[in-house]
Amino acid sequence: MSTTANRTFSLGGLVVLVCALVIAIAVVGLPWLALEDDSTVTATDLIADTEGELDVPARITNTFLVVVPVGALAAGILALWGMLAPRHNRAVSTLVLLVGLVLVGYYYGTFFYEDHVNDSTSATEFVRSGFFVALVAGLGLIAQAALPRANPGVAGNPLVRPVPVEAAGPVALPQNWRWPFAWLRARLSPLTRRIAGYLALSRIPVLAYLVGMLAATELERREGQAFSRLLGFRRVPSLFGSTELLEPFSKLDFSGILAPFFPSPTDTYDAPLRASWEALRQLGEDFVYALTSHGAREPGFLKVLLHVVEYDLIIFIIPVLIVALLLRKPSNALLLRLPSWAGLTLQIVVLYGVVSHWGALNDYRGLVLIYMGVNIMLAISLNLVNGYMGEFSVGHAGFMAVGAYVASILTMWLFIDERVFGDAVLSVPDWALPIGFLIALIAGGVAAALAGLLVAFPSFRTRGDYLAIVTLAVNFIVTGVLNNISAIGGARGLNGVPLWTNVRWIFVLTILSVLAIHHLVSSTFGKGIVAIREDEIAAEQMGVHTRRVKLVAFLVSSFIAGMSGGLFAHVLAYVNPGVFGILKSTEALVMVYLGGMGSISGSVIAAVLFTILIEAFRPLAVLKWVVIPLILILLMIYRPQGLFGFREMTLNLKGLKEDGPDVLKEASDDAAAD
Amino acid sequence: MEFFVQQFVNALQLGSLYALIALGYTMVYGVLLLINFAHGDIFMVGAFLGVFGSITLDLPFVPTLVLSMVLTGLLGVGIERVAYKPLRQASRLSVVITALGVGLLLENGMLALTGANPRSYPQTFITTRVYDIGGVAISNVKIIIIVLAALLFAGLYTIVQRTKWGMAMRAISYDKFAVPLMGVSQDQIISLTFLLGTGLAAAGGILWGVAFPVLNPYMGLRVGWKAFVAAVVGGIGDIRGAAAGGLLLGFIEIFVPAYGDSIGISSTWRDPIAFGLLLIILVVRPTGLFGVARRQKV
Repeated sequence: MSTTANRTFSLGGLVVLVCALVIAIAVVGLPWLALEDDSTVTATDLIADTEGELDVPARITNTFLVVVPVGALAAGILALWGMLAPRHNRAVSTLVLLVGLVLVGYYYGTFFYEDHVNDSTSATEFVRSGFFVALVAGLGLIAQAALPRANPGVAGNPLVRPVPVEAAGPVALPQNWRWPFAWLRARLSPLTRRIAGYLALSRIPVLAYLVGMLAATELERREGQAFSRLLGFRRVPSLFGSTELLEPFSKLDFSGILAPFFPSPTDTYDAPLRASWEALRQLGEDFVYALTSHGAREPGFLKVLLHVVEYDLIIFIIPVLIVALLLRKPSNALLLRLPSWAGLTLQIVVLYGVVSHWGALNDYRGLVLIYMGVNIMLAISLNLVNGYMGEFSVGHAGFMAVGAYVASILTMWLFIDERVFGDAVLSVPDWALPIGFLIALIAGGVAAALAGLLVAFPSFRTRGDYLAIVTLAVNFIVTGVLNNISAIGGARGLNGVPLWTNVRWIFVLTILSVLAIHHLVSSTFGKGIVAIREDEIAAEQMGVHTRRVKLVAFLVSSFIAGMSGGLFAHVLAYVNPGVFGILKSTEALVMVYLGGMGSISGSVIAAVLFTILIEAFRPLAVLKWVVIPLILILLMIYRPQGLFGFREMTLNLKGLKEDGPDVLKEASDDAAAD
Repeated sequence: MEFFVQQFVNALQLGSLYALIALGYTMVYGVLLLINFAHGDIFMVGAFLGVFGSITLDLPFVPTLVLSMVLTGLLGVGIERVAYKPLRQASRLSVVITALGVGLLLENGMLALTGANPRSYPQTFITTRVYDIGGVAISNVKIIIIVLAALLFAGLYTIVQRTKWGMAMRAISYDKFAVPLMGVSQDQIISLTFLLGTGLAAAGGILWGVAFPVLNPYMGLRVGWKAFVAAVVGGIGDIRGAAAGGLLLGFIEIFVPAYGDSIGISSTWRDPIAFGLLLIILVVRPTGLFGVARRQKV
């Protein structure tokens, strides 16, 4: 009884019980209620009925269908409020409640507002949205029930840390304009830490997560189609829904705003100010429509967002968590028993299973996976120079270009019949073509490494800005020379490169590159690379052969960049010098600084995120390259060290003893304290 | 001989344009030790503001030039205040990355907000007259560009060498820790530097638009990098070096295709040759023609 008394949410268990009942009705009862009278329509039909063609009984749109989801959502929000209330001032709690109520009102109000939605459509919509409502509410309740409160004096709960008295009072907001960020971080990090502590997520080995992902991809293969139809997607969301998310904004046209002030010779504006205002007004209208449209064919952003969250939670996040939690003990035990190389190999094999299974669903995913691999190789190779050695290379795409051209020329000239170089010089049986491809890729890497000498030798004398300029010049020289050799297409580029890069190639080579760089930088020789970053003269004094170290670092870096270029060329099917311009180099820099210098895991994660980001912003066309630099600038101002600057993500790769000290947790706490 | 003189004037025109833009790079570097990669795109904004002045406001040449220089200068100061100033204490690389981001933001923002149609100045902006001097055709546009660039450079040189503001700028580039102790406001000097540098870039942009009348949001990319090469070749941080580097680059870019055609070097080779020259100069004289090596203390 004393526990209940301590909860600020005074109705306690009774409310939770009622809410749970409401949610049970919402989840289980909605489809059932919707179909009760009509025995010819099954639930699957309703799910497949994205256009609203089914004749579902009209009485389904009665108030009960509104009351149940609204009630469930409200209950969930109340539960969330109850969880938040003791730690916040009243204004924040009220805000949470208000936002929730506005959302509910908005979400359901629109069904009645829009004339074109007929009764049967809205019934199906209600069924669909019921799932989301139930999900939000359920999460709120789970959080309410599962998370112990941080009230001082809750005795007997081992998970509660004593909270300093001043932290429990109303939160005084910092006065400077950065307050949303500081405020969010201050709120979220104790919450996430508490959840993580409760579930002991950091103790779960990577292996268990990977198996969970494997299960999730299998779940998606079986149920993804039906579930995405239920949510109203036209096809299965390719990249966790990120590509669908910005689709509603694809029709926005910003060009009218300033165009009247900068007229081209062909168009004339009588009243530029009015034309600009008109464009701005139209843009605002389009924006609101894109945000809120509830039409069946073009759902608005808010609605897509809800469905994307729903899809990811149910298909990916929840199954992965469940499987990982279940497998924590067995996989820890297994990994402890295996030798470390075997454990690592096992995890890589499972990772390959996840990647190939996930990528096999459609061609687009395979393509994105290949881009990811290329970007990972590019980012870690650049990180070796920029992050570990502390030089500033801004022309890495030049090495990529050399690798791409040399590999493409070799495969086209030697192994296949095409128009540029004529028939294949070598007649190679089909089974040996992969060997040929590998040789071409390595040759491309070696050629890129030779181009890397162009940077490595000047680096003996110049440092810092001037070396950056050297790398820039090398990039321009490489693309400029390629532009001028007409035998390989000049500026038009090289057409007909065979499409040989697939997920298997990219996976193997990416893993090898990551392992190679990891071993290089953690070797004694690699400590020399870091020493050069810290202080070149002191490193020289301590016996580091700085010239040799620099030479090796540049050679390795440009070799891997060249390999990635070769792989990239064999997926694009054509190469042209423009692809490897300064923009590509900038992309590589963005990935390195997003992930953090001197961090392999940071670069890998940043490359994956960046690839997804690029694909997600594709619908925005020009605006894509406005948003990405903005992110970069904000990142530099607010988190200049990137996601993982100079430290690695702590991963449980080798298993942990169940009763042993949580080494990983301590490590991450230390890192957080930094 | 006529051919040579003709090409010489062309080279002088191109070189003075490069020099005008390179001055902005070199001034900012001198004061902040920052390679302002957004400079080429500021040049583009200056050229576009010329369109705004000449067509939308229907102004003649000189007021347009002044308007564009002032507005672009203010934009430059604004960029410094918003994007670079918060990073004054951060590592220099993050500032450079930010500058790259600002550049991308400017060119793509311009493209998104104004559309992709190429712009040009109206016919009445500068009425072209061609003078025939001893068999060499020289247009008034070329004369205006060369003279104006020379005047602007002279003005800048006077400001930097003869005024107290200029002395403060040189002092900050010499020792940025001691100067604030002498009662000079570092922020004001940096703002002034950006104002002057970006104003010159705007002048360069308008003159460029008069000489080569196709303006698009990506025009600053190529020209910006070239001007950057010019600044480095001359020794970044030294304004005489920027002028010399710009002129050198202009001469190479004009004379290589002019005389190289006969030996099989077409005009498309001028980029690799310009950057190759940069590479050679950096290897032989790592601080450029006029640059002074800073001694590294151990």
